[in-house]
Amino acid sequence: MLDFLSNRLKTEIFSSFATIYEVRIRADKPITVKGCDGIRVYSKQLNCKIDRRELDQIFMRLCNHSIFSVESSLKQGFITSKYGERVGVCGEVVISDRSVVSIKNFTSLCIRFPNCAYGCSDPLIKTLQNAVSCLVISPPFHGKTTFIRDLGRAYSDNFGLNVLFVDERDELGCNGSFNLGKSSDVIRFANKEFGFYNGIRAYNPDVIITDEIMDATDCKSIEFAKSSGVMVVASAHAKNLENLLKKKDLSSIIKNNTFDIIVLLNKFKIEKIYKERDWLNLF
Amino acid sequence: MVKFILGLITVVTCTLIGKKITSKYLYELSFFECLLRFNLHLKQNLKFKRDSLIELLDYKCNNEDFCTVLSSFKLSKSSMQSNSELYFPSWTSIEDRQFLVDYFNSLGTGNSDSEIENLNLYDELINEKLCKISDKSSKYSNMGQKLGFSFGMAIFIIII
Repeated sequence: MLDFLSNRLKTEIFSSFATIYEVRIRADKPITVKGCDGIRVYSKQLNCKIDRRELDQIFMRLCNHSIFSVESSLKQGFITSKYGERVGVCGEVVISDRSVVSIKNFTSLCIRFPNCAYGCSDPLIKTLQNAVSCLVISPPFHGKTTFIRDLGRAYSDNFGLNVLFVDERDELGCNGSFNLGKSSDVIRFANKEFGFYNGIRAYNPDVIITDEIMDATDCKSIEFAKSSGVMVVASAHAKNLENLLKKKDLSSIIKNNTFDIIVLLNKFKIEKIYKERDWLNLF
Repeated sequence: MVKFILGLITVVTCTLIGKKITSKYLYELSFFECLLRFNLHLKQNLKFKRDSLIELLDYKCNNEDFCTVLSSFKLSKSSMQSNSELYFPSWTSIEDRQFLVDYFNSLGTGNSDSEIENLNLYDELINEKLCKISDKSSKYSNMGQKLGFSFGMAIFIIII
């Protein structure tokens, strides 16, 4: 992990917390680490800074000295490292013909660590007799990605289903670092449209797992899967069900009962499981 | 009889020395041909797989010096220390070394479009270099062998 940082920085970062969730590196400012000391989750600033030149060097090591190899993800503002850390990149966006060409003059990096919580979906699995389509919601940083990853694994191992992970940013599989189940396939770095349409044709999945539904295109892909008889497990940012239903694209697929249940997470635990009558009451 | 054998050994030795002195042009030719093939390999990678530079530097070829240069460049990039030294074959001139440094430092610094343009430019430059080395090789490599042979024959006659 963090093989793109110097040994000095790695030592400082890894010695700050027992479990690390996030590292923020800003040019000429102290490095901030968010983690858990075994009791609570909080952030602290380290006594070390790096300058812009060092930040550029870190960036080059992060992309293995080949900007062209990370071009498509860089245009979306992130790079996924060899070990699955998602690194958000801040800097100056270069635009040509109204589309993003690249990012330059980097000023900060936000490194998020993938976490494996094997069995975190067990409380949900115990309530199910069969696999169902499920939408997992919460504000950012409450464990949605970890939960749906484990749910996909459980669907594969417990129910014996063919599970297809449409892993747009390689956060679910992390280049093979995580156990996704014995009968799972992964399409990495492809958008949801490609992953869903071609995945259903080529892989014949029973269920598709995908992270962060954002817009109408994502919703359309999910509806296509549902109409093809493929179950979907997905996640979305929302504070609660009422907040979720204010999002036009998402509320329309929920109204059509694309999902059988909606799971609300709070600080990595299941707070509530909503069923059809719960959201129909709110419409 | 002894003088004859001694003379023969002298002729063969002088011919071989002459050939060795001028064989550097063949080493140069082989090295830059490998560089040209490596450049083509990078271009093909850009059009299809887009593997990272660190992976591409494991490229294997039949020129040991070139493979060592690639390894030293890979080490300097992977190492956290910025002033790791690159390896250069002993026969390279200052101009050749600067050319190699510029070439390897230009790799991986841009998006795919600019990378292709850079590789196309170096394609032309490497081909120009190969033409010059090829000319020198055809002019001098045979001459070395002949001069060595002539010198050996002269000593042979003196011995006899």
